[in-house]
Amino acid sequence: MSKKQLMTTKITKYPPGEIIIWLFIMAELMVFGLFFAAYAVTRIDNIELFELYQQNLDTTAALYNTIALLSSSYFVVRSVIAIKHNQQQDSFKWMVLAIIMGLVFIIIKTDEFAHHVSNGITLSTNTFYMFYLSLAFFHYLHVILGLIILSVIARNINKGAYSAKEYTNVETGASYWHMVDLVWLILFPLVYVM
Amino acid sequence: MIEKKPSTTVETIVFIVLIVLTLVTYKVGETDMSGIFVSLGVFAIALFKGALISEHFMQLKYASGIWRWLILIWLILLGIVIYIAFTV
Repeated sequence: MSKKQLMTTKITKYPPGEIIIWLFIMAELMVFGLFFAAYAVTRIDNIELFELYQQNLDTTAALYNTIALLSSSYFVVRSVIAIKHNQQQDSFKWMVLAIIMGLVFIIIKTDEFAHHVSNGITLSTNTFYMFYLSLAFFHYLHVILGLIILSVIARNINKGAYSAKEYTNVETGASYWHMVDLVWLILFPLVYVM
Repeated sequence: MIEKKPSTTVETIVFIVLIVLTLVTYKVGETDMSGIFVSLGVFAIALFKGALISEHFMQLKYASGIWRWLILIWLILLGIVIYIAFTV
């Protein structure tokens, strides 16, 4: 196969995974985008309130969570690369590591939510917490769904269901997981830092 | 048949860059630095990190046409909205 043919094959093959997951990803990003825009617009008339209560958030926990999700995404990348080269054992190992880092995120975030609940903070406490809790919990649910998807893929890799010839499902799950990571990368500075 | 170990240098470098930029964002949040330009700088870093995820982790750098730009357009639109909301 010539270099040009190889490039053509490569380009037409992408985006990776099933097309349906990309339609789902775009729908999800539109929802999160509207959420972020609503947060920013509401902040215009409530700057002091937002800046005051933003200081109550645990930025260090958010840092650990960002590192956990970035690491998890990187491990998923390694898992996809491994399966493309028929390295099932490596692929399974990287996927398990990705799941562990995802669970680290869940543990830290659950602790954060528990802390807020114990302090009597709810959606109705004020406008800032309404946005923060809604955004964070909506994203949290996506992480849980992503972990379920990655777990199914890991089990299938372990059973030998995927190979260098058939790895579409691995890429599909990976694409969803990267979207979950991407949303958090925006949420972290917008809600915790800015 | 198991193939030879693939190169993952680019992905590893991207991962390290993402971690370093995250630490920069965290440090800015921990210091007394404030103001509109600091906030917009922090968000610009986030958008750049998003582009790295799109291009290298989601592998959209290999996609053609609109697929290549899906996430990048979302990031640009988000950047415009946040810029307007933080500067009005």
